[in-house]
Amino acid sequence: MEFPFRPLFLWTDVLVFLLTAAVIVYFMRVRRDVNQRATWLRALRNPSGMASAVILGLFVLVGLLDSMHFRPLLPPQAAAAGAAKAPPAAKDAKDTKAAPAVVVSRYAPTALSVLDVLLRPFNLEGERTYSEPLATHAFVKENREENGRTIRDFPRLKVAAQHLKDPVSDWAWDVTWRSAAGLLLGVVMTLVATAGLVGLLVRHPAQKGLSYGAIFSRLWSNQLSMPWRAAVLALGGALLLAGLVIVLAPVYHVLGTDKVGKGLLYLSMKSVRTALVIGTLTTLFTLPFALLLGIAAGYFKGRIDDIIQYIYTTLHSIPSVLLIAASVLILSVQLESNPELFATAAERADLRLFFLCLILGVTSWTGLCRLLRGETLKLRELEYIQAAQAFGVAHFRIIWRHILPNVMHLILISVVMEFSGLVLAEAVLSYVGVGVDPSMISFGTMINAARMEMSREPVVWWSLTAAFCFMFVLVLAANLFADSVRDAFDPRTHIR
Amino acid sequence: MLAYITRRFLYAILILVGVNLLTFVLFFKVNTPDDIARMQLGTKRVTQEAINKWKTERGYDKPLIFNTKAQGMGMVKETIYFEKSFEMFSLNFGRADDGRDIAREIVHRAGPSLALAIPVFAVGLVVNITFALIMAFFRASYIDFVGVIVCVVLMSVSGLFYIIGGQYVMSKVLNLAPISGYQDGFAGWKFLLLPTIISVFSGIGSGTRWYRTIFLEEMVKDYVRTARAKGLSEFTVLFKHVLKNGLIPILTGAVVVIPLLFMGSLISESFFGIPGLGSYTIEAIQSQDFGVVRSMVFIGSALYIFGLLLTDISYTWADPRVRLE
Amino acid sequence: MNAATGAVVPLLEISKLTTRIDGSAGTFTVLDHVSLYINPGETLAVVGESGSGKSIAALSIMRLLPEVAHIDHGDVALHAEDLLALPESGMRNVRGKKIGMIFQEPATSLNPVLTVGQQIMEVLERHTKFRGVDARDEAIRWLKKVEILDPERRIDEYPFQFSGGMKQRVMIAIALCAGPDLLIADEPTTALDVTIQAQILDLLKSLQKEISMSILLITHDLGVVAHMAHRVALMKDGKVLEVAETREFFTAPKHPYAQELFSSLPQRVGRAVSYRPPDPNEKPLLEVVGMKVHFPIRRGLLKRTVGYVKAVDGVTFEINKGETLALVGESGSGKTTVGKGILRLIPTRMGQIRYDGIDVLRLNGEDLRAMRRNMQIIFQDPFASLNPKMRVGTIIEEGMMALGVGANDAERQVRARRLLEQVGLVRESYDRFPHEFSGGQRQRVAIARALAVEPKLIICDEPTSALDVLVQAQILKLLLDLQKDLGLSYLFITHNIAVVEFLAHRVAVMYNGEIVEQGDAEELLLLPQHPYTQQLLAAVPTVEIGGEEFVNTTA
Repeated sequence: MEFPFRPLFLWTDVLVFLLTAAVIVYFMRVRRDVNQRATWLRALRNPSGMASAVILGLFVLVGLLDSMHFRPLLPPQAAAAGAAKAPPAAKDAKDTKAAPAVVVSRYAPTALSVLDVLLRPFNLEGERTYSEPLATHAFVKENREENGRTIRDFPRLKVAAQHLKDPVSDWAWDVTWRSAAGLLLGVVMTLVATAGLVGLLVRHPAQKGLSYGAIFSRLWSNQLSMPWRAAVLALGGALLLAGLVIVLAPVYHVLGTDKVGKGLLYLSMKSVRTALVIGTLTTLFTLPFALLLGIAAGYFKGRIDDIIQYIYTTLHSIPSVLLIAASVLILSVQLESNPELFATAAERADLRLFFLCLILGVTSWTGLCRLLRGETLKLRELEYIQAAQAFGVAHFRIIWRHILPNVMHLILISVVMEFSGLVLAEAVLSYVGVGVDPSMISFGTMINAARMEMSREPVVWWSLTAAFCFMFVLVLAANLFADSVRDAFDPRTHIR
Repeated sequence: MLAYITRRFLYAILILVGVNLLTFVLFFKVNTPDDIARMQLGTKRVTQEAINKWKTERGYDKPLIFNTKAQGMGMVKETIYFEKSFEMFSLNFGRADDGRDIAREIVHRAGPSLALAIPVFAVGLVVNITFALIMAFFRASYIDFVGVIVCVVLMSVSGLFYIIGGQYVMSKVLNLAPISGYQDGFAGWKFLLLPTIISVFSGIGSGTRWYRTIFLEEMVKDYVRTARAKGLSEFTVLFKHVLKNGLIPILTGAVVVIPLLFMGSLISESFFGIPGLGSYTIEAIQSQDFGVVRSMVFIGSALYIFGLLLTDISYTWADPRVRLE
Repeated sequence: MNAATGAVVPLLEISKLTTRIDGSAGTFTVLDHVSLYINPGETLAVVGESGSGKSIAALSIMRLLPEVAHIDHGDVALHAEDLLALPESGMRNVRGKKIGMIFQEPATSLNPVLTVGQQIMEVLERHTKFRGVDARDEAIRWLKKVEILDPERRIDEYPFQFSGGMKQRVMIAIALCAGPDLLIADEPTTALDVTIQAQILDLLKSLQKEISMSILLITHDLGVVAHMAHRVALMKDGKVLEVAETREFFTAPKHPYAQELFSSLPQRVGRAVSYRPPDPNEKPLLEVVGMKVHFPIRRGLLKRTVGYVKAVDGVTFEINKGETLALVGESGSGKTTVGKGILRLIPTRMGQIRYDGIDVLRLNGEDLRAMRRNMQIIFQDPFASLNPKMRVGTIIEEGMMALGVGANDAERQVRARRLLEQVGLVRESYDRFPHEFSGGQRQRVAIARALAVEPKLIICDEPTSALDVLVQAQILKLLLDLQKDLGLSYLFITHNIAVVEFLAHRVAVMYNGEIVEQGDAEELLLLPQHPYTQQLLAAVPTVEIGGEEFVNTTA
């Protein structure tokens, strides 16, 4: 029996899902713990924290959908051809012979994600090169034969705006009514979501005895225990944009196309996963080092502390960009000379992303390590630790039961604070040439490609704008969220 | 005091040795000379002879750490570690892949790097401290509130956008400054204006916010209450009492990066076409010139460790509690 | 002693002062219609437990409240001038000039990076005609006045070069140098040792006489009140309950709360209840012989050990079964180090610690673990001694698990619940977190945790010094009851002579890492032999209530 697709687990996919599972387990434990639940609620009680959490949630959703990869079943005749010919997505692999996992497979050698499938109706493929957002004609003049004469003008786009009979006269009206319809759709979706939220709130004990109407009016005047209005506004903003995209994107390139005619909406959406993976997996890789070494140094003091301090001072002395650059250079040499590690270009790009996170993690644990060492030094003098020592409780158990739970908030704060910095770092590293694989869609590669377009005449502004907007919203939401988490979890800011 | 500084100095050397060993392992053990050669020679089917020839030309044909074939000191000296790694302590960095002497190149390029890095550092410090003080003075008011929001927004924009956007607006639209280029001497100021402004601007968000936190943390301390109980004005409290305490972490934190200014900035220099060490490093990374990257790692670490030493010394100068202990 | 009342115009008059704090949980009132007055040259003591609002009252007068607090309504008049109506700039002319203020923590109240001279001269240049060299001379004169030796040299030193008592003297100079009519002293001696406290209080008294100022003294220490105040105002929960002449306050307290406070003062009857004369044939439970705990001082290039801080230097004592030995001393005397050394929480350099004849210092591994069942500890700070992330039940069972008390979890759980009852907590406490308890309740949990492994000896390291007096009395009573029921021995580490009087059978006085005197509690407290003991006991402020004398007692 043959399934219409075969799931494909890339390295980072597996880690992303493990991480998601860990986060879910964590929040299930938070739910049961009165203290932690109160702290998290405090983080969300701040309207900007609530709104940014909603936005981040949407980004995470996109990232997760884009992390479910599979290989679709090929039609029988294509399967044979597919074995012989390298798939189009592997075109960046310089060496097609390096990817010869040509076990004659009935499944396409390219990896698709669920997000690709969902975006398919909104991502028109087949343009030749640049086109402006919502354009009907190409951005670059081309020669074209008409009635035996060569005309040089802007040709009509190949796939976008095909439904317009006369693009010049029909375009404005078409875009206007479609935008209006899109906005209307967005409003409707927002109302449905709000109604759903009110429906949930009615059942919640905190709003006991309130009618639907009463809850709605309180939600709108922000008189509920949580700032749900901020959540609704944030979600509403996103849904309005979604409405526009749903109506406009099937017939237009809403954000334009890039040099090779790819839709920028699609590229921007695909960049989200790369950013999220770098922002989360990197911190995941720093944790074992920072936790183990930081707590050990602070708890045991003496020689162990001296050695650990020496290690992290040494590592920290090397300018991080250079250390990362050196490691990535070495990594690419290693990947180059070990082609057996990956079968397809996508897998190579993924492997490189994985190692990039690992390298970033290994080079950036020193800050958290120092922080944890300092906190542990303070904690170990506390009387409850001494009480445990007076009982002869084993060191490991003291660390596990007494130290670790009491430094958890620092770890959490540092994880959320690091995230936005890592997303920004990816762009810079990709610019320097030591970031993600050039074939991997990311904000860094998008900016890198768009950078020269700004000096074109006339200027190609939309690809940079698309990357800027997506990245800015993601990083801003992460920063705001990190701020409210820190305010809620940091006892110092709490006192103030 | 002298013993303290001497001890810190010895520790600094110990760390530099550690860095040296670490980079050696990274560059020669993980990535063997054979790998580099294969990489440089480019094609897949490289013969072992070609690799050996490449290695001999560049002096990579010797044993890694210990040369059993050599005599006396040569057993240690005629090795890759000694020639490629240990020699860096005597500032002998060897040659780049294009055959130029790396040490000489570094000396040449340090000037342009400093010409950009020093103004960015100094102006940035002054601007950030000023904004932070203004926000601390008007704390819990709208000025502070809006200031924090602006800071978070500025922080959320990638540095690349500041440069690309700044170049576009300032040079292309407004025609205020040349997009890129460099000229020695004072005549080159017009090339440095734009990168300086953009670099300072891109650092305002995080810098101001960070310093504001430091000042606000000082402002809740007991001695500030004492100062107010003396009848001093808020202005005096802020500028005499809080500033003096807050500047200790700020300035000693800034001292550590002063030596690193020599390294220049990777991104600005390459965008603005300034022939400094930053763009040198980027070019080396992009052309996979391991010799140059290795040298820059060594110099960068040495400068950072020197910065740590300066920080220790500046503490003894800035904080009476450390100075007099 | 008594200042005239009524006839003179009050210097400061507070009426119906109400201050509120806006917290995340809503607004609550911390000062509730407080009315007080202070006459010229008079000392008014405001007494109350922690959280009674006495410090907020002081800050409200100065208009130096933290940002979350605000004065809701009321009047504060100085020389009949309404302070609350003044603009901020006008108020700045009052602060430091007409009202000086000193705070509880001299260690943090001075700016660490300015010299003490700069900090005094700053006030002079702000409020008086002195400038430059004159201001410096005046500052030196003030340092002399607050009895700082060698003021010409010390004026250029930084606060960290001064001891705690010296810093408080500098604070007094700062507060008084502009010649204010009123000094607000907010717990000025709480952070100081008892001998230093006596010196600072005497200094304040003599300065008051010299420059005829009024003092608003905020304290929780009834001994300090009796020693200093003309009149007393008793506060609780933001309200003034009673204002009276000091003598009247102590002899005939009107308010029930005052009566309750006085009755909770530790009396000498405590130890008589459990007293059992030691059997001369019986071996002591714990013998400490020549115990030395030294901390290395590392200096120089290679951080070689160049010497030792002799925290404990040759201490010898013994404790019998069912007996309480009080180890008394001031901060830095090494008394806490002795306690931790006995439990091997810190390494002992030399000497012997014999429990039931076995040298504890020679034990290792399993033997040491077995020994830990016999000796346990209760700490000073009930907030730092319980892990905030663990439930009370888990906290109590931790020791039992580690030392193998109880056959299984169920048995341990039963035992933990029974212990909670034994220390006077409800069984339901088992599932709660420490932050749901008050300081006194937490200390009960800590006692239950220690008792869980059935120790014979408990080291009590200042277990009541962080508690208010009513709670302190309850905890002390609990400890006495437990001693009676279980035959426990206590090594009671404290600086509080009142507590010593209450429950110690024998006393050892520590000074600079050595025991200078030890003996029967009754004799030693009545007839101290060593000069230090004499000085220590003389410095303890006493209260006379209804003809009976009480030593240093805190409210």
